[in-house]
Amino acid sequence: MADPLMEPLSESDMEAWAQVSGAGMANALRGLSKMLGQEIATGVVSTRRVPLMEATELLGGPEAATAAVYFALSGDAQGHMVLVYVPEVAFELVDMAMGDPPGTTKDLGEMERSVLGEVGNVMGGYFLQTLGDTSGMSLRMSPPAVMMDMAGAIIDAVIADIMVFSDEVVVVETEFGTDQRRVHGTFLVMPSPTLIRGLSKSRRAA
Amino acid sequence: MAKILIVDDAAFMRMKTTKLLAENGYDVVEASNGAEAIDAYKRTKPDCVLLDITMPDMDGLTALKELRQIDPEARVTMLTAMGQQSIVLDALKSGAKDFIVKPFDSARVLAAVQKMIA
Repeated sequence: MADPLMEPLSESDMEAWAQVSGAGMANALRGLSKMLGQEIATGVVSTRRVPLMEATELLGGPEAATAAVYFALSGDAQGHMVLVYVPEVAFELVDMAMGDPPGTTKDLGEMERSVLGEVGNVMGGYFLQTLGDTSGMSLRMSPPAVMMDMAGAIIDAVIADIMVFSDEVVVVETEFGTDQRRVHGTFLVMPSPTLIRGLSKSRRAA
Repeated sequence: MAKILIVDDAAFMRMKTTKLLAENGYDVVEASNGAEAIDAYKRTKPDCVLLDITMPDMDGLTALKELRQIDPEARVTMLTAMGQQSIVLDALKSGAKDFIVKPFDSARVLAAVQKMIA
């Protein structure tokens, strides 16, 4: 008998994922706006399938310098979430959260890393709240892992995990920021097929 | 002056909360995980505790249960992220007085503290 995990996702599965993750992103940005005390706008939310071999391109290519905050998802379904910034944007975000003038932060020490981790906690928590409310699934996120490294190193561990059940990864991406201050970042969510099917099923039942 | 123990593994959250409470005339003690919190509680005997749920070494729920064993009257408010409702319920059953969802606003934190020490 075929392993249900290995069955390809259907168009309706993908459609359900696109809708729910779009709502989740909007909620994540509401959380961030509340944390920073100013309106953070989101750009277009896109959902697509990416071959695993090309996954490092999602973080700007294997040689790109990036600051990333990683969370593992567990509970009724598994997955990964990564918030990615170029270093200058990460510094800018820290300045905003600390209420410092632009250009204050020039490096990521313990305090700065905890700011990025907290931003991730808020965005990830709000995103998962939408997924949980929609699907009835109980989803938990790990404490944040804040990394300053080449993109390839960050995504290798994620890919190794996804490879077990798929040769492609389903991602949702968006950019966010304000008009005045540049804090454009990318929020990648890589759900397991179980998570997507769970959402799809609950939507059909609704 | 009332003394508040703040327990959070994120340096940023400790800094923000300490600043808020100090500005409002409270004496603040910080701890960065559950084990440190138990130690600081015994040592400094705070009037109340703001306790984060997700922390390494000893999480907030475990720390809450230990604090309530050491001092059955311990007044504790949990700090939680979105989506931790089941843990929050467990914490309230285990004697937590209140909970605050992050990102929290200043007025909510001050109200929780005032309620605990009233």
